Amino acid sequence: MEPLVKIDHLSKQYGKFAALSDINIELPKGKIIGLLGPNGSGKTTIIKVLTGLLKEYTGEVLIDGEAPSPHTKSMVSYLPERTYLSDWMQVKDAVNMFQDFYQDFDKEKALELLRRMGIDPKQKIKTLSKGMYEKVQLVLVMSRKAKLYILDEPISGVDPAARDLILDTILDNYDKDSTILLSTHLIADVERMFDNVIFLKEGKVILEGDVDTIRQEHGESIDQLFREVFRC
Amino acid sequence: MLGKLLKQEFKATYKNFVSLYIALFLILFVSLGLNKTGIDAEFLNVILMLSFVAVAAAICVVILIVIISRFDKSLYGQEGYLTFTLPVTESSIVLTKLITSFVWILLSGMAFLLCAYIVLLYLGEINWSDFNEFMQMIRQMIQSSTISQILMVIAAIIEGILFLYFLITFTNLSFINRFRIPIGIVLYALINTVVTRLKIFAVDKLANAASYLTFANIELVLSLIFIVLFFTVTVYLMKKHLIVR
Repeated sequence: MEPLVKIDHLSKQYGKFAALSDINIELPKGKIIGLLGPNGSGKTTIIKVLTGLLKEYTGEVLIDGEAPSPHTKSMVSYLPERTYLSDWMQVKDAVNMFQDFYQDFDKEKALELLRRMGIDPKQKIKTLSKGMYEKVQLVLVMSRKAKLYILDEPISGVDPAARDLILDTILDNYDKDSTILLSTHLIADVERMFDNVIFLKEGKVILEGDVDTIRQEHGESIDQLFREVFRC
Repeated sequence: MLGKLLKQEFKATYKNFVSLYIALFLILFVSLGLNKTGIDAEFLNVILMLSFVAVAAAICVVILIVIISRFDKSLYGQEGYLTFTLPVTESSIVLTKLITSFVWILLSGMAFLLCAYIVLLYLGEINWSDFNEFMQMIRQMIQSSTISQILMVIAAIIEGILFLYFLITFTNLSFINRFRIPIGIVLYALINTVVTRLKIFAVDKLANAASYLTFANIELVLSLIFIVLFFTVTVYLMKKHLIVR
């Protein structure tokens, strides 16, 4: 089966610093893939290339056979690590904006998820707490029926109870034919979700494959393996 | 998608301008109220003139700040993570910002003139010689302007906005990591000098060489060239060298 994402010889330099060095990855359809590595390993750079936020790179990146473009953006649902909604908005403005721009956005689903999380659609974005803000962005992203979900560190900086809620929201709401690329350095909490993992270190892929196979080959969990590989 | 982007942009910016217009009309009514207190007409004339100059300056400053900060924040700040992941082209993003900025400049100018007009209507019997003459002059200028003169002004406004967009985009390229604002100011001064000298040179060489080569026509054509140039280069930089930090 054709992979949904094909990355060929992707490299990115920031001055003398190589953020990515000759990355070759394929992301199959219908899988949840963990993009794992410590801070500065290149996870966000790969994500920025896939989402069209970074245009200067060498190599080839294809999403469903196309280089990143407005069309691929309509297939990708992206949750950045940062907050990206405007201060002037109320939560409902953000929902309406997503409905305007993304044909695959389900407004009813978004409103239902907000209700379940106890978020008032009339609340102003700038009055939301950090945790609430992250939940709003997650609701927006997971209310789309996208081909590819890219979730950049969705559970970093949130308490354990909120982590479970976030992970459950992801698992309950993503389209089963879609692919999820989830970057994190907090493996223990999310290991159960992954079908495949990619280990990144200093801009290079050092391990890649099916989670069960890797566990069998190394005789330890992904979290244990991660701690071993990235031990300082 | 352009319509949807425009809708979002107007929603994001209207509050800045509505509050400015409210302030403008408040100054107007306070000034009109002063008239009823029996203050000397000449003194009132000075106060009103000063108020209007202050408001005109405030409008220009607010417009400039909104044009620059809105473009910079919504594209190269945190909001850029949303703007540049929307399924829209870079040219439609730039066009949206340009149209909204232009509309706000137009509306602000009209709001200012409307205020001035209301003052004249309401206080018509007072001897407002200076102010009346000023308004008369503006009216005559508009009436006697040719189409190319009006187009020249419109083109100059658009050129100015796109020049700022180009500078903001350029100073956000990956190789400029520090001193973005000073670099932007220096670039502004340099490019502005080149553009102005080029225009003076062209007008000097070409004006009146043929009947259609009027000052306005030459300025208009040059502005159109720079509009195309700034727009194309800005979109190109976004397409090929974008980095949202």
